[in-house]
Amino acid sequence: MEPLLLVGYSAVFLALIMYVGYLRNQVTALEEQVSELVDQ
Amino acid sequence: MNVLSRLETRGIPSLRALFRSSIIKYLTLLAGVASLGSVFGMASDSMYGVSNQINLIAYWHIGLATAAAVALTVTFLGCALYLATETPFWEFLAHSSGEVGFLMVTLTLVTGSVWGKVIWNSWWEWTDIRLVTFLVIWFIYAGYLLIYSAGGDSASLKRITSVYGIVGFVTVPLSYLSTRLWTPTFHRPTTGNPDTDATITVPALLLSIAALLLIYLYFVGSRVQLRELKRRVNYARRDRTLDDHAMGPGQGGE
Repeated sequence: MEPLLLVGYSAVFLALIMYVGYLRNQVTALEEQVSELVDQ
Repeated sequence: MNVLSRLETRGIPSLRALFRSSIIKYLTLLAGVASLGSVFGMASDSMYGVSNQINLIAYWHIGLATAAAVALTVTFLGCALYLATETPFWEFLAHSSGEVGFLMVTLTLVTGSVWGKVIWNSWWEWTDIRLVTFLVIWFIYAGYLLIYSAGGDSASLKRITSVYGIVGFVTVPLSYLSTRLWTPTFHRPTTGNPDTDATITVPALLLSIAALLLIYLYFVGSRVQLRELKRRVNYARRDRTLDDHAMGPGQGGE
């Protein structure tokens, strides 16, 4: 397989997975805020 | 009932229902797998008379560019609707779509650069009008996201960002039309141009465009839902703080 083809698709998937990770971090931060609110 | 109030009463609940729907998630996964299967299983790697495996990147490169154009159009509409109604939902939609659109524009540039390195023997060509105008889009939306993140809860900055989102959108149709308005070096117009034979495998291209549009929808839906939840949590925290202050020291909480 053409190495740059692999590089191109890998870059796309890496970026998409990183964005999902960013969204998950936001969810975790929100969950912490909600549990703080419930504990008060 | 005018168009704006119909959008408020029917459009927003419909969009919320669409974003909450789990079907989008499964459709995205299915379309993604089908797209990759068709690109690597049946798509032609011969384009514009050049046969090379790197041409297979074109299927997602075009899909990414299409999804980016849709995303930035939604940002434009969201900004206009926010300015007209001041409903936070439109602001969340505009910003979320701008964020995902920026990601898609970046990936379009990356995949295009990789494709160009093999076919043109160059990572970047300043003489190609499509490349340069697409880079301008990247800078415009990087600016949009920067201004937005610097604004915080300031209502006037949100309005300024929305005006920027509307004005900045001019670059999107300009980039699309650039190969027709100016002489392109590499990007020749393909749609409706009888002189260009891209020999692209249409079903694989359509599947890739569908997959990337679904990825866009899934990301934007998740981001808008997060923004709305965050807003509700912030309101709840503020109400709790106000209640604690009203009760006086030592009487808040249990």
